[in-house]
Amino acid sequence: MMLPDEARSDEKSLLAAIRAGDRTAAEELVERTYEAVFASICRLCGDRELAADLTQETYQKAWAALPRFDGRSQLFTWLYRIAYTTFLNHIRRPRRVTSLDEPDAIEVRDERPSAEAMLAESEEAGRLRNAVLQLPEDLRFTVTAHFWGGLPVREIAEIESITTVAIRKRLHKAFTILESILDEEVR
Amino acid sequence: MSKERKAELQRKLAMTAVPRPPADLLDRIKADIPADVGMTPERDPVLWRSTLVMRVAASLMLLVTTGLVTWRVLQPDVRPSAPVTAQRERIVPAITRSVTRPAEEKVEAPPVAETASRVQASPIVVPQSVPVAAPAKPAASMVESAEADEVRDFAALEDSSVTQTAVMESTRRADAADSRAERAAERITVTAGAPAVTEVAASAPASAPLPPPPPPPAMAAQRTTIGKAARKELASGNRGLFGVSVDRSEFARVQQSLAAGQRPADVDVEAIINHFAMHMPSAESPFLLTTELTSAPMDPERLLLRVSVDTGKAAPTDAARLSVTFSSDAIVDARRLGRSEALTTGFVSKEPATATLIYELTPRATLPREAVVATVELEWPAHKNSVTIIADQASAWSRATRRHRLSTLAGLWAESLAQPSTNPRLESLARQLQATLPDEGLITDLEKAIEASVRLPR
Repeated sequence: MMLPDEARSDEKSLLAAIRAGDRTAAEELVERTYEAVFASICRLCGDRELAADLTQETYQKAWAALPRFDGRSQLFTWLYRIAYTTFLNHIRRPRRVTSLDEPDAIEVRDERPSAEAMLAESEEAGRLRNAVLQLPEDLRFTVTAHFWGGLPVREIAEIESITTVAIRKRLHKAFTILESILDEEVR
Repeated sequence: MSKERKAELQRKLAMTAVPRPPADLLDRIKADIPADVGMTPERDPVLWRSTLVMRVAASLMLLVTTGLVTWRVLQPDVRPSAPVTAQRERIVPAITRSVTRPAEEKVEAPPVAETASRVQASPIVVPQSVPVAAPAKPAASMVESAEADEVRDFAALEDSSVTQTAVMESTRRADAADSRAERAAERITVTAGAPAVTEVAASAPASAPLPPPPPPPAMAAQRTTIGKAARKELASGNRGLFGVSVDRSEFARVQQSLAAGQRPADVDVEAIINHFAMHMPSAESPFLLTTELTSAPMDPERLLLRVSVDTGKAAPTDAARLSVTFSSDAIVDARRLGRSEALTTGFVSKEPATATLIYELTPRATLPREAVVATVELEWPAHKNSVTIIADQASAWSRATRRHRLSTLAGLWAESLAQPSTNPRLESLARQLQATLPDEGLITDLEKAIEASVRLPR
């Protein structure tokens, strides 16, 4: 569950406790946030098991990066940014790996249904997710952070270091592109 | 775009259904919380500021010197008159110093002195009775090989008479280091019986064999090419961090051999492990240290420890160090899969790099949950990460992360290729992975390779 605004001071004390080496506080942070992190990654990748792995990886990275977290944004916003980057690294990884192997090996594919095919979601939702993933990076992050990560426009503007007006412009532009991608698929 | 259409898109985006997370996810994440979470020391602002000032000053001095030397050397009307020659003689030593200083610094302190002092300072040493990992060298020889790598690296790195002084200097230092290491080894013997540990202390990295250097051109040209070319070679070589093999062609070679119906010979197990561990850089920090402890899938009496270091935008350094220390209170034997040599010392480029090490551990028969199994320390300039792994953190292999399962299975399989036959259990484990993990081809590659090796005639 995402940390509510009114819990900001509570969040600061939680962060201070973690920085003091309190493992219980770290566990509490996980309990408060992991479902939301999982949900946002799951919406990005559409695969429950993969989302679980990437969520686990997100927290591994978060513990390593925690000493450098300056507390300017909310903890969940910071976690979402790590989760999003972890997801991007994952989807970029196969290209890097397969390019290193011999070309013939790439052709050997599993004939079973793909991860997407196994998703328990509607075809329409799948199309929408694919369309979102085709957006340019800045628009994709804005859309996913706002709608799938649940971050308010103000928070996104803060971590992107731009104004809220610019974020709204990004969203508008993203909708226009999404519409054209989805219309093209229908045709 | 109409308002209705926009509203419809917003509704669809917001309404995307999400399944519940797996029941064990919370426990998995909690198990990953490091024992010293958040305890990394903050950067000392005063020290940082003074370091910054010194770096800026050094950069300016280097810039001015480079400009001056270049201007002097490239001047077309320089004549070999006595005053000018004398002036050049003064310039040349200046170049020598500026080129060799990093090499001297690199060779001088970290590898031997620090390793030896680590052995001396640590209360945990290798007792005679503890069986050390099979191919493990004693501390003295580990230090020796690290030093030898140093000398080789620099001999390749520096391709002119200008830097041979550095090589000779480092050789002398290596000799001195050997004697220091021998003394350290003696200390180990004397203190044997103290708490305990197997192996591994060492510093960073890329000791890829380099091609023979071209004949040295003019001094000015050396000035600009030394370092750049060599560092590029290192960055694109087959060594990851800390000398760990990440040879990108090794798995393809094994596949070709299996396709031809032959059991591949001399498999670089470490390269196979790293092929399947992949590189998972952190976007949030210059480097990332991850560890994972699980049961061994083929032998429930043993444990598998994975140590991965990934760099993202890490600044080049000569001072990164990794050490993995096992406690004999908990571990009877520790063995690094595919270990070909001790971790080495050298240069870490700014290119993203990775190193995954897999240890097979034999725990004591009675292992308390709170027992410290190992301590992993990663030191980087201005950063230090230390992870203490306790027995309670060990999870079932089947619940481990994808990276851990893939890399450990690949490592066990690659090691088995040296045997007359491959255990069919490896094949069933690979199929299990294929059935439970999302696959972009990597798991299929491994499964097919294992299957092919199982089918090979004895």
